[in-house]
Amino acid sequence: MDKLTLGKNTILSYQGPLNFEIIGHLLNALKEETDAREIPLGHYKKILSVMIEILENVFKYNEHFENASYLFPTHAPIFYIEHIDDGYLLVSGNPILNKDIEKLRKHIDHINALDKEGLRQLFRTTLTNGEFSSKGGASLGFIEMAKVSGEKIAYSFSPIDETFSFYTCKVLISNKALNSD
Amino acid sequence: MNDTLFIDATEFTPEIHLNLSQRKLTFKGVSRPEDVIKFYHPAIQWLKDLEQKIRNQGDMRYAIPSFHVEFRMSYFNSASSKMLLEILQILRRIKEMGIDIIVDWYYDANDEAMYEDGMDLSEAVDIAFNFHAC
Repeated sequence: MDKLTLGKNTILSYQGPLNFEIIGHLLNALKEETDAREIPLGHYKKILSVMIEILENVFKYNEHFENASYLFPTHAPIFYIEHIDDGYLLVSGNPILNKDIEKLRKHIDHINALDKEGLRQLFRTTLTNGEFSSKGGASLGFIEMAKVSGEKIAYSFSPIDETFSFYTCKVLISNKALNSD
Repeated sequence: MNDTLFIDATEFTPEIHLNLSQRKLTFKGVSRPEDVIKFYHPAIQWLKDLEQKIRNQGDMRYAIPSFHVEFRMSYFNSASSKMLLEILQILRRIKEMGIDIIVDWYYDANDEAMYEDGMDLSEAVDIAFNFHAC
């Protein structure tokens, strides 16, 4: 079941399938909300940048779960943005194959262990040497999100069944990062 | 190859204008295509054809002393950065054949991230960019 609910601190909230067109609608919704809430342009650009990468990660992974219709609606992809005291929190969730969990966990942990300069270095080496597919990939998305957010990427995996778990990814764009330039 | 390649901008793809007789290449706008490889393929192919042409015609480097490359991007996603690098890598090979490649990177003065993205690409491809805050 699709839903779009807007509370006071919730800037955007969505649950349902994610395709390229829906991502476009959500980006337009973000623009409308930031205008209505008079969110500064610099903040909007940082939110937008993280939002595109976090949603494209779900979109790129679609093919691994879109045919497992038994997962829906209880484990359909989710996305929301909240304005909290510490900054803006962007959260995505989607089913993930259990066999892919370790690789993803290692990848995020690797990124989380790096400081700002380390992230720039990794971005450059991945840009030059990373594997690439038609939908993107090359792991650049996570590095980009970490660069913008200035905080560690939080994640969790909650088991659904023997094939799938539900993967949640949380990116906080801290007030410090928001005021950095 | 055609003298020019023009791709109009959309809500999620940039304007691309490659012009051999004017020796000018322009990339302008937003880039988050649904399929980055498919979107950038015509531009990359045009540049590869140009590279081949220059390689095959020894005198072309005298006819074309330089190429002016302009990036006026307002946003591009991480997948697009890989494609922009591929474009720059072809230009670097053309540069190595003796044709001067001048890259101008325009960015919004309030958008430090766009400046850093330009720095990343410049260092990754080892071509110095001229940066212009506007």
